[in-house]
Amino acid sequence: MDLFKRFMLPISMVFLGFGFWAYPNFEKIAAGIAVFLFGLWMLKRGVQTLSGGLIEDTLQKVTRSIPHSIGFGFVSTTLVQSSTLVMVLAISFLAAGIIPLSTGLGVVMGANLGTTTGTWLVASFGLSMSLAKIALPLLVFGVLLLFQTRSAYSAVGHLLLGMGFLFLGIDYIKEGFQVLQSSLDLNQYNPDGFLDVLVVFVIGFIMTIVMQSSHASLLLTLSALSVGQISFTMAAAITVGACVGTTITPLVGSLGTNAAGRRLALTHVLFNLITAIVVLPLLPVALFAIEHLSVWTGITDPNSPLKLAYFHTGFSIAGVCIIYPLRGRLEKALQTLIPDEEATGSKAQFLSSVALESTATAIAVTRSETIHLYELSTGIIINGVGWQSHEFHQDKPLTQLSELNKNAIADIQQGYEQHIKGIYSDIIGFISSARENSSDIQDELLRDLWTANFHLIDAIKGVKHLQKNLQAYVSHPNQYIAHAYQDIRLQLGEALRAVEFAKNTKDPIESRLALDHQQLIIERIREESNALIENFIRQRQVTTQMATSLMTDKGYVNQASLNLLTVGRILFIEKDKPQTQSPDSFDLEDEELTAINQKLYEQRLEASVEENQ
Amino acid sequence: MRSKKLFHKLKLFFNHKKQQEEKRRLELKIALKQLKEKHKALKEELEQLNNEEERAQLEEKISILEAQRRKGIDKLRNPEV
Repeated sequence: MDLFKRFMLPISMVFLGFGFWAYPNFEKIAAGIAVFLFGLWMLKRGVQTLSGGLIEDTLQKVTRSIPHSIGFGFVSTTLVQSSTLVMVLAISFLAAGIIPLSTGLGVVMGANLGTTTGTWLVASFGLSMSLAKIALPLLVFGVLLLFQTRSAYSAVGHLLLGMGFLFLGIDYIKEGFQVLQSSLDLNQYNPDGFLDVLVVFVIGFIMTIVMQSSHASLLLTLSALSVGQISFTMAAAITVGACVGTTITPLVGSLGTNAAGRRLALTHVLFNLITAIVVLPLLPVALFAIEHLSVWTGITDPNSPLKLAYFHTGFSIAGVCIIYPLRGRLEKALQTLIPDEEATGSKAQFLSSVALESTATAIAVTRSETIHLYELSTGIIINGVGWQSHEFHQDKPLTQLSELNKNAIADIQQGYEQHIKGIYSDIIGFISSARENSSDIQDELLRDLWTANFHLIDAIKGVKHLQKNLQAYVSHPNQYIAHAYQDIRLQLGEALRAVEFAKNTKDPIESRLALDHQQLIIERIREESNALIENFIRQRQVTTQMATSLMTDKGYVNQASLNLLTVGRILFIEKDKPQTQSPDSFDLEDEELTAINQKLYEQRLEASVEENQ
Repeated sequence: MRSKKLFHKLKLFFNHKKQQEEKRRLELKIALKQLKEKHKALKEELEQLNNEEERAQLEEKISILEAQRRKGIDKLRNPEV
């Protein structure tokens, strides 16, 4: 693909250069397309910044029913005027396992319907009035707002500039076709038979792939139709080609994702291709119906662009009518055609370059991948200290789990090399790329995820360091050292269980409290451990060599437990709950935890004295 | 009173930093209210518990909530600290 792209750029430039030299009138149309595409890009950026990830957040929540997802696809495509962007978001979310295929299918249908709004806007207003007059003040106000420090103002600036450039582009193209009319008449190539229609369809298809925007193709078609350069049949065939062509960019992007993402991209292609296969042979009938509808709604001009808007809408509605009843079978067929890949521990499951199109999407997939890494890492830690994963995740107290068999302890270093290292590197690389275009808030979220990954790796490494002594001492004949190492295991197990609790609990206050409580316990153990070890040495219960090993390993386990709690806070406490929006206000420092432990100790001492009296 | 409120809102509109601070203050207030409710619920739960170990655990959680609430109230009263 890269090779194709590398060749396409010089070829396009030579082609355009020749076009400008041979047909000077062509220059205005090409410039119009360039300005229009730039306007679309600005508009997309403005909507994305202004919505602050609202589109992506909504997409995560519209999993209830297909009508909801159709509605989402329609509204979001209308707002950003790019079905490609909406599809790319949907593919990324599906690949990250955040939405199911049925929702993705709904988004495909909605996005297709949403693209028709652009056609309606251009057909209704764009070609009938001089948009340059409106465009100029929009550009001035847009630039003024663009340089404001407040991100909302700057986003509105992008929106206004986007609209200004869109209008300017439309005007250029319109004028370009009016000038071209005198020197070239494309109507002489009017398609007669089905084969001609197919050729025009392919032209529309290629045009859209090259410009990577069905809107640009449709704008050209509408402009050409309005000045009578092309016939309505030709315009309709180009529209169908553009609808199929617009599916190629998301399809190419999906190649880097997992099976789920590729399935949705293929659904998008199939949706438009099947509709095209049904509609193209019936084109004369469809055009006949639209002619009647136009007359009925008072459109008398044979070259009215509104007729094409009718056709585009009809095409999209026909697609929904054809695919909606077949959705169940289509899903099954896609599952068979693109089966799930075997999950390999060493490969990232959710990250793909396509998700980098939107930072909010990049954050969502990074979160999914970090949770994946958390699951793998905790599995390695659990097995590394001698528990069986399935038994550990049962409700039984840790003290009642099977006795540790030191020969069954898994090698953490090997597990890290095989399952963790590759994914960790992928995540860090991905976060670095995503941070390039992120806003301040998004950057903070990405840095949090980076921190979570770092703490996970730090926890694994900490447990790896104590593994050797754990194996040596956990069933040692000296009951003091054996008991101390059993406690180390239990402390780590309790920290892991607190994080699991936070993962599975919906109430963020409850989750946070479980993690904070565990931190309080760790702080207490840390405070007591020096006195305990000193006592061991003084009473000659353990050798000094055992004592120093214990001291070091207690340090490792404390750090690993705290690392895991930090991971739990970042990954599993819902971000949209007020308490977590200002978590720094509630985070307790070590001294505060010590004060709580001291107060509790005094209360308990007082109670026991009272009881003895 | 009404004009005072209106003037305050107008002042907020033009001062982005102040607007952010006000938003954060409101979030903190909501969070403190939630902590208070949780604290109350745990206290009630504690009264009905007989198991010593479970009581000790709950007492620890209550102490954490108390410390967090204290910290939050301080922050609300004195945002600069």
